[in-house]
Amino acid sequence: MFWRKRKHHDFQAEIQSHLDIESDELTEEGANPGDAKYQARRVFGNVTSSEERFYESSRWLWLEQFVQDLRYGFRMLRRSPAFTLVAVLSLALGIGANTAVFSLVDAVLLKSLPVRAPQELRILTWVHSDKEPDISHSGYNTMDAVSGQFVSGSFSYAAYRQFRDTVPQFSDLVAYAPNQFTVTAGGASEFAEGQFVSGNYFTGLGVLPLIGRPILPEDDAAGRPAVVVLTYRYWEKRFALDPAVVGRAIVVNQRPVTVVGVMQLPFQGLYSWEAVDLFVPINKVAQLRHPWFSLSQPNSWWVQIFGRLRPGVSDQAAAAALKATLGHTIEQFAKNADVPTVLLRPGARGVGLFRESVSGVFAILGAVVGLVLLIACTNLANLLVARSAARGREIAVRLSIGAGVGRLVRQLLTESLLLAGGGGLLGLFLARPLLQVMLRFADRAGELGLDPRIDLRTLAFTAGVSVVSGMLFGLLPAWRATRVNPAPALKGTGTTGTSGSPRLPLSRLLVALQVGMSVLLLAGAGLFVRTLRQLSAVDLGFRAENVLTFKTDPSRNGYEGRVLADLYARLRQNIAAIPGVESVGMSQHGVMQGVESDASVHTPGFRPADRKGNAQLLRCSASFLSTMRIPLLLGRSLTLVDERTSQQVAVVNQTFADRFFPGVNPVGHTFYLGEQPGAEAIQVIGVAKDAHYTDVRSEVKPTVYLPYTDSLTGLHQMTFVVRTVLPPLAIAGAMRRVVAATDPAIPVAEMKTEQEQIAESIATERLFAGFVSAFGCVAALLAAIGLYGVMAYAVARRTVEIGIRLALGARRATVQWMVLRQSLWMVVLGLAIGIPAALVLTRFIQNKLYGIRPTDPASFVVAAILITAVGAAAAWIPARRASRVDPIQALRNE
Amino acid sequence: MATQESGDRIVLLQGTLDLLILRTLVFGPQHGQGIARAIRQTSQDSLLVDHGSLYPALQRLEDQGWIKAKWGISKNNRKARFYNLTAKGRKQLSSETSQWRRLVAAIGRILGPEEAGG
Repeated sequence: MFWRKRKHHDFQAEIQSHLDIESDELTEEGANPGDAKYQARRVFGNVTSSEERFYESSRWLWLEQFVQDLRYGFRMLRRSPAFTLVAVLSLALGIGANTAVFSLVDAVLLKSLPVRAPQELRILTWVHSDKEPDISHSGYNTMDAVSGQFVSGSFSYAAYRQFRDTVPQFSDLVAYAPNQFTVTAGGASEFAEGQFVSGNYFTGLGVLPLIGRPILPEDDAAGRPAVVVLTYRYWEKRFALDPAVVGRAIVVNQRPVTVVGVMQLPFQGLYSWEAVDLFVPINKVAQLRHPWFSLSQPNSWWVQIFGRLRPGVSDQAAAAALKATLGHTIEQFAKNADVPTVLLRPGARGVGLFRESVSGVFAILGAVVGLVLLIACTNLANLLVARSAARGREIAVRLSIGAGVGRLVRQLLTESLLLAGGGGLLGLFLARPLLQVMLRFADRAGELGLDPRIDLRTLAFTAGVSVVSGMLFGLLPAWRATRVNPAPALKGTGTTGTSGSPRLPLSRLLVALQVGMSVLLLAGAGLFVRTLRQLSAVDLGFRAENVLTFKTDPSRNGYEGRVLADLYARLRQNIAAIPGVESVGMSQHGVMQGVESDASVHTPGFRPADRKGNAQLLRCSASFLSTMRIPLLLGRSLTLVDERTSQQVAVVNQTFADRFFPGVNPVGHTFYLGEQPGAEAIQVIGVAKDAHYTDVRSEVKPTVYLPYTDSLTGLHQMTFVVRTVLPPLAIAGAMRRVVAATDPAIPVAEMKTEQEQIAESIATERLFAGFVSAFGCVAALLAAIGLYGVMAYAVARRTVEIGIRLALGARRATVQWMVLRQSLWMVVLGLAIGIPAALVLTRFIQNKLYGIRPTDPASFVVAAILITAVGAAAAWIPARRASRVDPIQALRNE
Repeated sequence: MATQESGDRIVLLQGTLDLLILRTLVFGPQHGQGIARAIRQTSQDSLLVDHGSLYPALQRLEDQGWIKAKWGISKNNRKARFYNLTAKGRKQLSSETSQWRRLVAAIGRILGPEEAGG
């Protein structure tokens, strides 16, 4: 609306009127008009000073000066477009990368759940102990970061009911249990990640549906029709945002269930980042065919609980009340067991399993982008120092006609902030694609419910980072620039002087610092790239090429026991008949999925000693080993006959044979699994070569391959492996059709090649290798620009000196070498800073490396060579320019 | 500056100028020169207003909303900016006046009778 309350000329008019009136009155008093005018002015004092004081008293002065500075800054930046471009681009990259990582960190680690008053929420857990009751447990166990105790998040349904009805310290207690469902809709059956939830789940959390209604307490009762609520993501993915889905019946685990509502987008349940598709009332566990979640058995612990603590209630008091109640429910089935201690964990940010390991990943990404921004700032500080030296004359003029140092610093800082602002703005646009690339690495399968977005928090972060970096790279050059001695600068000796400038050591130090930080990044990149290569070179023990895999679980469609086993056999037969398929196998867990079953093994009666230990189990079809090309070393493989008979047989791997039957041929020997009395002895029929099972990194453990039919009651999910002669994805469609032809309600999930699966299993390592390499290159490029800038400036300043040298007979090669040598000194200094720093810092990424030490010489040598080459290339142009100086021209300039 | 020229004139204390301006305006609207002259005359030439401070002070008082300004015609037919006391300014004046009186009395008590101060 207005910059100042009063215009300057208005004030001038007032003073003029003052002088006029004064001189009028003096004339009236008898002075002659000429003297009166003079005297009026004398009495008034210094008119200019008065005007200045008026001017500076204006409360808008700073703003006006700021606008002035901005305009001036714009002009200065427009005058040197190359500098501006480098500055804005490098800052944009640095700030954009930081913004991207921040929005990821914010989404995963910092944000609260989108529920009412999230800080009131507590997660109910209990602490594991030696004398805990004997229960069947389903859910998670985790290390509580605060207390360092190993806790479980699952309780019995009876315990939940008792808590809800008798513990007054909570205003709401909500229960849920994660579970996978098969959803049939629109003619296709697929897996969906869902949760059984208590009736008060949505009202207790205070979350609202986007359309329809949430599950209400009256839905959660026996005899009520089954209802389901969808998350926004699932609604989008599966029902194309069709609002008519509300009120429609979909088929969940072969039971008709009515969709009553869709939740708003951010709400994804109470885990922080694991995607949830749908919610169903917890009372429907039996109706929806859950095999072991029980509402009545007090020793079946599978219900996870969140509570809303009443204001003013201490966590200790609430935990004590919960423990007392828990004791009553344990008495019913375990008289002599200890009642576990209840531990309340803060629930505002959700359960957040693996938060610690995810934090580790983010710490590395954050360190890398932070370093890149620091390098960009150093680079800019350096360019600004050189620029302000070139602007020495302008600044000297302004200082000598009375500009205040503070005012000048402010003006130079405004220029820096302008650059930072431009960089920040552009960085915001870069952040999104960068984020997408990172997400694609981190979440190839799209399983994470991550919703990082550039929101107000991110904007605030970006603005903050921009201002801080503007200060960081602007303050030092601005301060130095105003310390010019005006006299020599104005005489012109400041620009062409023959002596080395006192400014240069600072620039060189800055370049060396940049080189050092780049070396640090490049060495890190080398370590990650070599880790990835080491991982790729691991002999997995099976052949991953030309293998297509998918998961299915017909047990939720009502198949069980022998019927299910026969269905699996039929599916294998039908798939094997597809042209281009070579063989079909099947295992309970997919390989390289990080999932395993294990059991304790003992070999009674076997001498030299009873050996005990754990082994991984993999229930599989007879054709699994041959399909995966896992070679047999001794004995025979599993056969279809083994699948059919009740004879307990197994193939073991070599590590198993060495561990449990050292020095003998284990074929024909027997062992027992588990501690249960009356378990049947299992006979070893063959020994297979070691093959990786859960992941690439860990060493192969003792492994037992059992026929999948060994326990028909526990039979459900299976992962198919199909070896093809054609490219595997070429038969994906045919495979879906064959499964649908067998039974259209059978879901086919996670269809992908085994090679994709392996790539997913090392996604973090791939992210690190790609991310750190890319930013290492950026850092090296910025270092090159910095080095080039300093050397080009130095050569320009020393033109006269070089001219004299050449006139006196110096050889051009000598001059060239002189410039190169100075550049190399900076690189060497940089290496002297960077290498030791890297040697110290890479220790912190040790657990992310594989097959190499954090001081891996190859990585360090390559980084050093790379940065030296980049440095030499950057210095080459100014060096050439120096050697081409024409002595006559140069001396004429003097 | 002008105040320092003559020995029997007093340099104005920081902040007292505002009080004097407000007090002067009690008698009606006045322009800057008139205010300066009134202060000098009322104080029997012991107070001479530094004009370098007068106008910033007027500006300050205007910003506070204690006085209002408007261009008008002076008695000898010159265009001048006339200042007028606002209601807020009147209140400010009375509180500042009583403060000043208390301050003077307190300082007087500390300094004691005039003879003792010598």
